[in-house]
Amino acid sequence: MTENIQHINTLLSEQFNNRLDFREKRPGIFQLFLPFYHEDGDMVEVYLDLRNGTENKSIPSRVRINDFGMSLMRLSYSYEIDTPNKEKILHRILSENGLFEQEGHIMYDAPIDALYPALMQYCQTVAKISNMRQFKREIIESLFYEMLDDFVMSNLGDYNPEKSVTPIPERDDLEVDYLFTPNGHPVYLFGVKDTAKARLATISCLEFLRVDLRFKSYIVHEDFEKVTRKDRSRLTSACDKQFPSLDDFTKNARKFLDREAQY
Amino acid sequence: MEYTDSFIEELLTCPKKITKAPAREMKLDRGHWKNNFEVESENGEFKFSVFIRYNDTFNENFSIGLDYNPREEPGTIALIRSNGPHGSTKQWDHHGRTHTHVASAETVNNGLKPESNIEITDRYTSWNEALQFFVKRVNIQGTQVYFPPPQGNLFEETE
Repeated sequence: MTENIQHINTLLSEQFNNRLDFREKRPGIFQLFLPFYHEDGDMVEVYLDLRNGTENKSIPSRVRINDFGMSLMRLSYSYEIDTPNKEKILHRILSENGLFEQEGHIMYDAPIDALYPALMQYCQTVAKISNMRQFKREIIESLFYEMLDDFVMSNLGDYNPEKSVTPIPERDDLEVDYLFTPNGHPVYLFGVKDTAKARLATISCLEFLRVDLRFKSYIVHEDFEKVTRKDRSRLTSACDKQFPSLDDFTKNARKFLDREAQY
Repeated sequence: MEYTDSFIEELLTCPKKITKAPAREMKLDRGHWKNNFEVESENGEFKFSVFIRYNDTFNENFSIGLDYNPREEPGTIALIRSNGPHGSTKQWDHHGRTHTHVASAETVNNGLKPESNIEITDRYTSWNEALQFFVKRVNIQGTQVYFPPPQGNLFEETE
């Protein structure tokens, strides 16, 4: 064991240009001190687990790199892996980088002669896992309008979308997110991610009707269920078509715009 | 919103009451033990979340933190975390000292990881001791029911 870790130390020190250190955390488990840090300034926790095969004095051909659950513990301060979808994303990140997880421990069996690139890969993957906190609902939700804009401008360009249109020129408080003209007549599109925007879309449609504008109105919800029942009812009464989610809109927008073009 | 150091200190030290109690026992999940609870300032103005974690393999690797949940914007701001000796830090190139991460106006306003100021401390050596330190530091009232301090509490005389 001692000979093994001394050999690994020498080998890795050379590969790391002497910018590393070891400490035996438990018998056979060595914490590596590498110049890799989380955003909060803490060092990324990396251990070499040399407990397996300790009876064998020869230098192992592979070494297990393990975090002993520290990466997912750190992630859990602000983000839990508590749904099948999050689980799927976690395991996709791990498998794409050749790592695996058992009971929260993230591991990689690295070839001894390529420990340096293995540790680079390991730390990079841990950083990706740490960044799963960026998938938090409030962060993703804040991207709804950007995602809608990206889809409209990238995929519906042949319907000549115009952004931020005011159909009643003197009413700049009644702004439409996008205007399409598939058949010469306007289709107004509103993105709705909360109750406030649902109410604004309702008022806008009713005002456009009141001044006898000829138009169709589409609503894209971030989450249809999140808008209150009364607001859904008012909006349903005022508008022509609602897409319950951005996903539904991306799948079906063209079909509905093409149908408009037929008239 | 622009944060100031005095506002952050107010958030840290204002008297707080527990609004959602911690679980009776820590729960093992993916290699670590966990518990969470929620608190708010006694005047009802500020809301916070508290988390307690310690590693199953290395019990000395623990973290107890307070996140501020501002009403006016989504998301949370990590104000303080009391950590065990899990390894070196960028500011302190040592091989394992207990330490505390604390937010500052500079880190919060500049979009850095809020709690990226690190202070080395010797006021606790285990997660249980750190918890007693933490609830006093952030002034949470009524924690004795859930987390009774050990006999001869190390911090009694310092308060």
